[in-house]
Amino acid sequence: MNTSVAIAANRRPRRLPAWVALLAGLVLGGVLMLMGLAKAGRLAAPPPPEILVSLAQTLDVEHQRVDLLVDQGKFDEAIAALENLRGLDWPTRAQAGDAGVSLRHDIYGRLMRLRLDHPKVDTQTPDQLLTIADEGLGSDFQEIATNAFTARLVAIRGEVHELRRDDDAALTAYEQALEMNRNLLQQALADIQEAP
Amino acid sequence: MNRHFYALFIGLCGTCIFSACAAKSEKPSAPDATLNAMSFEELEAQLRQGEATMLAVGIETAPALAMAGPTGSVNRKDHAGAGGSPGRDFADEADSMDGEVAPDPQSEPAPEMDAPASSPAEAEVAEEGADQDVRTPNRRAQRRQCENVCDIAKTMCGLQDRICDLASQHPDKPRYGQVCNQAQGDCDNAREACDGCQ
Repeated sequence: MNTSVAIAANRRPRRLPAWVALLAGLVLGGVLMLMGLAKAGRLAAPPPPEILVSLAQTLDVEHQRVDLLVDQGKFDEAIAALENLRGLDWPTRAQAGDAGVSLRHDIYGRLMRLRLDHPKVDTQTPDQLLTIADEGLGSDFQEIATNAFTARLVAIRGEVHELRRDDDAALTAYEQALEMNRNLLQQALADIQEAP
Repeated sequence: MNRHFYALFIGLCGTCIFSACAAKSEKPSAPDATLNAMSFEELEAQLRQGEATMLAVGIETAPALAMAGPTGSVNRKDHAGAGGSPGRDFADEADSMDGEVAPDPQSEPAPEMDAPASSPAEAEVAEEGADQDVRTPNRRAQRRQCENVCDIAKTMCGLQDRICDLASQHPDKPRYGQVCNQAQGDCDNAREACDGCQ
């Protein structure tokens, strides 16, 4: 009887030393950190600057052209120019980073603004307008860093929802745009405070 | 059991603190000289191409203007509305990316350093002038930042108008009223920030 008690006592599970738990904590923390960084896109290699610079320059020239056309009142040509850009083989977020995506949002935002302000030019139905807005925003617009172009396109999408008489969706879009602008304002104010 | 829990907790905290410090001390890495040289050459070629295109459509460009991003300092007339006018300058991003600062086409020429002042009074005036030259880019940057704040304020107030318009059409839905109140608060805050900035 005494022998069996002694054996049972010997079979009690050995307690792990504290350093093992500490190590497990460090490993777990490290894995969580890596997962967080990967989710935030901080682990991805930065996109080659050439793609972004050449895209920005191309779009800059086109923007200047559209400015000129708008000044001359040639809204149909301005819309056509922006529609041409819509057909570009836009680089993905992996290729051009968040800035590349926001450049796309800029172009689509401008196209949508012109279309909404000049509905008689190359008329599109509200559903078609929503398709353009969704195409421009893409599926990952909420994952990229907050920027004014995305905020504007999201707000414009709200206007399209209003045209479609889907006020709930419009309110959601306006709310999203408002939140983005709130973040932008905080960033802008922080920049001013940090300035020498 | 408690000991293990504490050790695990300390380990997690340690990793979090380490990653927070690493994130805070992160600085832009030194630009790669080869990459910079390459991209600069390409940049110049594209710049010339862009200028040629713009000249073809009748726009004369300052050489550095093409460096400014799609918003640049261009006032686009079709950018009004709830969407607002994005005020961010992509030139800043291009600068930080290449590690070089694009020359400002509107900046005044640098004062001639080798022309000495002939009298103490003139020297004082010249010193003040030099001081102003140093401060001018800062002031310009500050003005641009304030314009940015005011652009955002304008956008937020535009959104408030639209949201509250919707709220007035749906008095039976409390969510609309809540978002409208929030938007009014945001608009007021942003407007205050704009007024305080100018």
